[in-house]
Amino acid sequence: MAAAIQIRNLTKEYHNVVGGGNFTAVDGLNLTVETGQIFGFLGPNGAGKTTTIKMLLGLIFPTSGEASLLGKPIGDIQAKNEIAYLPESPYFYDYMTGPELLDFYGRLFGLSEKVRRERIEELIDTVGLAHATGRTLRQYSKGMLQRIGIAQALINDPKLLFFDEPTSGLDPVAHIDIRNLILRLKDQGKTLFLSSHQLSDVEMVCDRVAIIHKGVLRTTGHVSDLLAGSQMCIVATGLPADAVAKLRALADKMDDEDGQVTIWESDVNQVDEIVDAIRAAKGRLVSLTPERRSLEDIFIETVRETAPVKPDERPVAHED
Amino acid sequence: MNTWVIARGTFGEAIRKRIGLYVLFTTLIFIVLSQLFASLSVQGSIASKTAQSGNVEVTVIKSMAFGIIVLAGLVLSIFLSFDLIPSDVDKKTIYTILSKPVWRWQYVLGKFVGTSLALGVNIALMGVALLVLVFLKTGQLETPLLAGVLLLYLQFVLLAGFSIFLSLVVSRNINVAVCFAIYIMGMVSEFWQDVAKATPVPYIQWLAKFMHLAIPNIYNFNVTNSLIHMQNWREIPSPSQDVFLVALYGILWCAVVMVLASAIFSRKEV
Repeated sequence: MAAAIQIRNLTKEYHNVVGGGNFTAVDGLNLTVETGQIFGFLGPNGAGKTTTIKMLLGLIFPTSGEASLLGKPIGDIQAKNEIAYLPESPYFYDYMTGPELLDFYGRLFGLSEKVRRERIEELIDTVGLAHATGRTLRQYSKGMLQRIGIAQALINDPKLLFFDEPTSGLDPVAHIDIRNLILRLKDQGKTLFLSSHQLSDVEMVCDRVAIIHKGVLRTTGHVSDLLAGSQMCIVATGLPADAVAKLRALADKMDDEDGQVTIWESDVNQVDEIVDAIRAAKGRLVSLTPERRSLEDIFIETVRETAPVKPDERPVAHED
Repeated sequence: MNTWVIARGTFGEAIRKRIGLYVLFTTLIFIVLSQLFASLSVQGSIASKTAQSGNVEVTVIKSMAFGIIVLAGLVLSIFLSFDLIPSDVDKKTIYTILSKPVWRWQYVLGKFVGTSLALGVNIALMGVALLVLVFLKTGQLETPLLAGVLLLYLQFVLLAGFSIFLSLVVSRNINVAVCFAIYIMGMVSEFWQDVAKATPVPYIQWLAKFMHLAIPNIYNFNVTNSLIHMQNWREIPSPSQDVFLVALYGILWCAVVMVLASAIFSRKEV
C-alpha cells in the first residue's frame, strides 16, 4: 500500500537572533505512515509534535529534509484538496453559525452549492450539532467548538487528516463521541495522523505510534508489537534473606516488603528459574500473573530514558 | 475565488468589531451636530447680518463634517486592519485556512479586500449623512461632495493596506505608530520634494527624495478644500479628470503594497 505520509530527515531549527544560539525543534525525523492507518504521534509538551505537523502542512518551513503527503511534496496546493487539519483549541469566526462556518470552509475547496448543502447537513448530524444550527459560534461550548472543528476538517471528504489533541479539555461524553468518530473514520479507510496526550485513546484507536522527545524520534512501531513485550509478576512469601538476594540478581525488578517479595520479569526462561529458586528456598509461591504493559508505560519509559530537558533547551515558540 | 471567500469572512468580522461601531456612531452624531456648531459659529458674526450667512453656515458644516470623516476614517482604517492577520495567527484560525487549498497571496488579498469593503460601508454612511445634511440646508443634492468622500476613502484603503503589510513585519504598537507617521509624512509629501531641491547636503537630499518616493502623497487625496468653499456646486465639473488620476494613483499604490505584503507573507512562518 502506498505511503500517505513520507518524511525524510526533516529538521527544524530556530535561531535566537537576540541571545544567539540555535534550538532544534525537530531533528532529522524519518517516518512513514501507510494509507488507511491511524497513526499516533506522541511526545511530551515541547517535543516537536506540532512543529512537525505545521511543517507537513506548509505553515512553517523545514530547515532541511523533505516530506510528501499523498505522494506530493509538502506545500503542494493540489494535495491540500485531500487533506484536513484540526489544530489544538482552534478559534473560528464566532459571528457565524455552525452551518455558515462549514459553508465558508466548503467554499475554500471550491465545492458547489449543492455539494456544500449536502455535506453541511450530513456533517452537522455526524458531529451531533443538529440542535445548535441557529446559534452563533460565540454561544458554543468548548465541546461544541471541537465538534464543529472536526466538521470543518471533514467538509472536503479528505483522505488524510491531521488531528492535534482532538479530545483535549472535553467532558467524558464529548471525549467518547470524538473517539468513536475517529474509529468511524478508520472504518471509512481514511488515514489519520493523531497527536494526543490521551494515551488510552491512542492505544485504543491507533494502528501504529511514534514517540518523539526533544525533537528526536525515540521509538516507532505497531501498537500491538510495542505492547507485546509483556512481563510476569511473581509474588512469594517465606523466603530467607540469601534467597531474596539471589532473586534480586535474577529479576528485572523486585520489591521486598514485610516478608512478601514481588518480582517482575519479562524473560520467560528467567521466570522458570525464579520459580525454581523460590521452591528450592522453601518459599511459598502466592501468585504468578502475566502483566500487560500499557502504552503509558512505554511512553514513560521512552521519555525517561533521555535526560530531562534543561530550561534553556525548551522551545520558545511553536510549543506543543 | 478564494480571495473573495476570505474577503467575505473578513468583512463579516470587521463590521462587527466594536471599535468600528463606536467610531461610526460617534461620527454620525458629530456630523449631525455640525449643523448646531455651524449655526452657533455664524450667530453674532458679521456674516449673520448679511445674505452670506447661509453660505457660511453650509461651509462650516462641510468643513466640520469632512474633518470628522478624515479623523474617523484614519482611526478605522488602522484599527480595523492592524490586528487582522496577527489575531488570526494567535487564535490559530489561520491554520485551518492555510491548510486548505488557499494560496498565501489569496489570504492577504482577501483580508485587504474584506477590510476595504468594511471601510467602504462606514465611509459611505458618513458620506450619505453629509450629503443629507447639506441637502436639508441648501435644498440641493451636492453630489460632487461624494467625489471628495471617494478620494478620502481611497486614502483610507491605502492606509489599511499599509497596516496589513506592516502587521507582517512589525509588532502591533509599532504598526499603529508607523501608520500614523505614514499619514502625516504623506500629507507633507510636497515638503520633502522642496527639501530635496533646496538642500545642498547630498545625504539629506537623498533622504528627502526617498521620503517623497517611498511614502504616498496623501495630500493628493484631499480635494475637500475646493468642495467646501465652492459657492455654487454646479460650477465645478464632476467628476473631474483629477479625481480619476488621483484614484488611479491610489489604486496603483494599493497594488504595490499588496504585492509587497504577499511576497513577505509567502515566506512567513505562522
